Amino acid sequence: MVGWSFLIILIPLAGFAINILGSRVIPKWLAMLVGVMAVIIPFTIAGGLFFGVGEFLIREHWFNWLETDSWLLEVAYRLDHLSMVMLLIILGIGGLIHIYSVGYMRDREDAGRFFSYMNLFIFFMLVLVLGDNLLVMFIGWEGVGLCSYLLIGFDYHRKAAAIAATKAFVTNRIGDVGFLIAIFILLNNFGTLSFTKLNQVIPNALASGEIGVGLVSLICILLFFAATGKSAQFPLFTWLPDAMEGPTPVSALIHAATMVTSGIYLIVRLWPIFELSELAQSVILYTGAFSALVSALIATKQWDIKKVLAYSTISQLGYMFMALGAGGYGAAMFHLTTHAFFKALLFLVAGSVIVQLHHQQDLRKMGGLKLRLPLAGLIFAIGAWSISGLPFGAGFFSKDELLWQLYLDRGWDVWLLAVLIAFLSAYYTYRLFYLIFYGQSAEHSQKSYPSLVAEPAAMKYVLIVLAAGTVLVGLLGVPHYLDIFHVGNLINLYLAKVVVMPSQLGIDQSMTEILLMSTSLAVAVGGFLLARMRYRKSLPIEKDNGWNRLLVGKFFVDDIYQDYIAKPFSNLVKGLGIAYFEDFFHSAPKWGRRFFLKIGESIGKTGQSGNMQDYALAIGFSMMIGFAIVVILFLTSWLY
Amino acid sequence: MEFILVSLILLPLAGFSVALILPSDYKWQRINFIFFTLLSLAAAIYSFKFDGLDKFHDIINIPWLSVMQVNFRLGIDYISLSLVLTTTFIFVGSAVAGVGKENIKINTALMLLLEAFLIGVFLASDVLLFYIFWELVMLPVIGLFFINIKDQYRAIYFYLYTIAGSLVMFLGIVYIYFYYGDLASGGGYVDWLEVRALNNNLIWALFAIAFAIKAPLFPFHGWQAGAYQAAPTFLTVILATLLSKMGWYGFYRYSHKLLGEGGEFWQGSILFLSVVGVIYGAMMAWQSKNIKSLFAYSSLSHLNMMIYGIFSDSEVALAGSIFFAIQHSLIMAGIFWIIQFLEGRKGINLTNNFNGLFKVAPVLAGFFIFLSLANIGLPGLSGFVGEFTILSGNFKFYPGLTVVATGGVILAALYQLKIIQRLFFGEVSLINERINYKLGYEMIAILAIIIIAVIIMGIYPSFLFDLFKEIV
Repeated sequence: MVGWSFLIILIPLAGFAINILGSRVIPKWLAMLVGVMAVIIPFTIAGGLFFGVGEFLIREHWFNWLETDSWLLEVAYRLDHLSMVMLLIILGIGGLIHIYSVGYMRDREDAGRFFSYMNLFIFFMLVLVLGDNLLVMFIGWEGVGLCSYLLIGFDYHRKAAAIAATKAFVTNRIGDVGFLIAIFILLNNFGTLSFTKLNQVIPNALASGEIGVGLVSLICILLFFAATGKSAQFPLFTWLPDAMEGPTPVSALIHAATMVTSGIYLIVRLWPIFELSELAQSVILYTGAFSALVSALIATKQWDIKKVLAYSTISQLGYMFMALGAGGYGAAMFHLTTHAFFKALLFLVAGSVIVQLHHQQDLRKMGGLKLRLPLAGLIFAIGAWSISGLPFGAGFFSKDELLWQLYLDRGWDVWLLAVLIAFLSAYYTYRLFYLIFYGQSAEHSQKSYPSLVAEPAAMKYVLIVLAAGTVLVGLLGVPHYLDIFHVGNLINLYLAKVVVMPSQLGIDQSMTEILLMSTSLAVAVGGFLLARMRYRKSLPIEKDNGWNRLLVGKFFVDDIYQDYIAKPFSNLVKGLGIAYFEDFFHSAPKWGRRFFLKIGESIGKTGQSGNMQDYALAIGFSMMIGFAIVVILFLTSWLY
Repeated sequence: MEFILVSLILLPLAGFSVALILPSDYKWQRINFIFFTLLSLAAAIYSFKFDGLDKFHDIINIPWLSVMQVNFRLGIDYISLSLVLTTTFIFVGSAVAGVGKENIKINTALMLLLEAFLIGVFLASDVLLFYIFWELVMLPVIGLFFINIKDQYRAIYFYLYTIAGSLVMFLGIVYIYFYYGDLASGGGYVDWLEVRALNNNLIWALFAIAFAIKAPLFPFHGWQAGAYQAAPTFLTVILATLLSKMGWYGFYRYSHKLLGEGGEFWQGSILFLSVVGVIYGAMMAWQSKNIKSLFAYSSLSHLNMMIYGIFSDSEVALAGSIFFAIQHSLIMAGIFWIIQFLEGRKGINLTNNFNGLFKVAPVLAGFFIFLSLANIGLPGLSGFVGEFTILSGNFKFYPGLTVVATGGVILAALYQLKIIQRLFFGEVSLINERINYKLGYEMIAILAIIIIAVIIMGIYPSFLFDLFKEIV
């Protein structure tokens, strides 16, 4: 089984190649089949590896990418417990979304192209999580960015899609500069990019005083800067809401479940290094908290169903970064896992609602769909229950562990901030729920949408399976005070082989934990009830005060970037082009220009007539100079 | 065996004569062009059989200008042979892509002449011979300008600009001649390399100016965008891919290798200028309104990156610069052939933000997008290897400058995605819908070869990189 593990990476690539090269000849059903199988088969292999191998670490060296005197870069992959978790999420949820896409894309001519991009994305995502060193990871890192670009701009005829795609790619590249510089520092100081070696060498070098803590902080902050691009955190988060221009399965797969979590994965992968820098940890924690708070606030005022979910994703990712900043690597990975389930579920059910309402995304034009879309309503309710952290939903377990970690590491104030965000997330999720399914009468909905588009079976079944997964995934991390069957915190036990876990707690701390948990639970219920009160009956009238304007304007971050960074820069470049430099270099010195112009005119005039004589003249002119040089050469030699 | 090396120059010259003899007939000229470029390509591949390619050495050394004790010397190593191979390959592609229907005879003849002289530049092992080939290259180039375009101003500007540079280099040679008494002692490459005789700031600068203009190094690029734009596109391909590499090769072969410690005096300023050029070129590319000028500035940015790699103290960066130069030629050739193809269709309005060509030309779009991504250094493709090695090698010595140069990758994404968006996104216009955008099979084959090379060089760069590493 282990020997076949490389197929996990190569099969999606093959799926991409088949569909892109054969796009003219392969019929649509076959293209879809290839696209889906290219994810399902690796999933079964990964599943086999998961169950078949107990204590495993697969590390395979393929070849040397580059080798110099001072460093060696290998193309190698590693499969350990951490990458296994990511692998199962990517292939499991990815596989479901591929099947969902069969339904979603059934009427599209270019389904083959869609599936080839999706397969390519899976390939690069696998490269990212299976890479044994930062270089291979970076190949995947930029590769998923590329696929994100291609898929956001999938409907190439829509200008908004093209602009959003470009924005996503460029913003990610800004982050990638941080990644590259971190790589340069690491290569020149430690001569390796391998995770295993870096995780040993750097703590040792710091302990022996070879390097200062400042350098470690710099490396960590640069890598985290790259993570803010990919995982849509402040200051590079503005691309994610715009990325919702892409098809909904893309939003579910790339912009909720997998790609945007690569920043988290990066930090967990290198946790022994991040652990060393107090400063970097604080930067991560507070950037995460700030992003989570700001985006949760923005989400409460959005009217586009997918944008609410996008801001919610930023907020949840911010949550995970908070956990990372507090050293809760297991908690972050657990929340990453549950989030992949419930956020994918919410996106897919939103996609199903959008499709059935003839591609309507505006929440104000929905409402009253409870009885008309009962399945979607039920499944959305499951997703909303989970994300809000209400009892025994998936988010309940992961958020609880995360909050506990924050409390242990940072104390009350950070914990309170996180609870406030939990309140907001319950509020905006249930606002969404009530706006779609309640809020208006069924008759009203009947009037606006006399007929609904039938939902393809593939989409429906995927939703059911994913909903079941969402219900169950929380059980992977049951807290010990609820652990009546003594199975333990499965995901923490599993990951403990790779990352450090908080030590087992005494009984007195258990009481504190239960107390904290009850408080956060009460707050989440409060958010839920507030949303229910405001949005269940009808659309409330929004007051036009400063605070609301700030929220509706998304804290004007986009505008600030546009007005104070993008525009001045673009003006500068334009000025460079038109006014000063081009003219300066081109026309200086002035007399020279005039001289050239004269000759140009005289030769240009004759050149236009285009007969043989002019060629002769032109060639002769060139020859003259060439020969003149040779003659001078000979003369000088004789003179000498 | 030696005749192979001479035949590299003689084959295109034979093609040139045949083209002049043949009638001005599209089909015959095309066959002739493809035939002789393919032969040269075969000769270039075959010449990799020479021994001892990891060190530059003379293969041919015959008395020539006895009065100055100058010999006719051709020499090779992996670097010059790689450039020759790239040159011959690109000329095959040019033959396939065509040189226009009008003036087919004279265009074909001059292109073959150009190939011969370019190969001469890359093989010359004597400074005077190098200079003569360097000058001769301009002959067919300027001829092609005069014959094919109406607006001569840019061409003249370009010509005089480069001639001015060449004359400065000539002054350098004269200076050597008077300084050392003859050119023989200092003329042969290998002798020079051994003695590193010319630790002279002034000579170094005189040579460097010529190379800086040809490459071009910022701020000697004034001619570039205009000339790329004005030239017929089949010539722009050669300007962007090979003439620029002449400048690069000069920097590598003479400025870096030969002229010894004279360079150290200027090193700092050249490094600074090249980094400015990386950023400036990318910014100018972003604001360009013309697709050819966009890629001209993109080339400017990348060539400055290569120069940044040459004048470092890091061997990794130097090897990376060679790698970058070779793969850059391939990518630029592919991109400009596609532009040439599009220009022949005349449906594109580049002042319009969205042409929507993806719908009517998906294959072409695929090739273009792929090459674009390689151009901006997407990891896993060849462009990344060059950038990565240059930057990581230089980071050790000049962290500040390198960080600035790394910022260029953001700007690269900006201009490259802008042109992709303009060409392929949006609604397709009615005019375009009726135009046939199908690439010919032979063009697809050439582009596919480039793409395969780009992928192999990106995923498994060490097979080339190790060769270059040995030499530097």
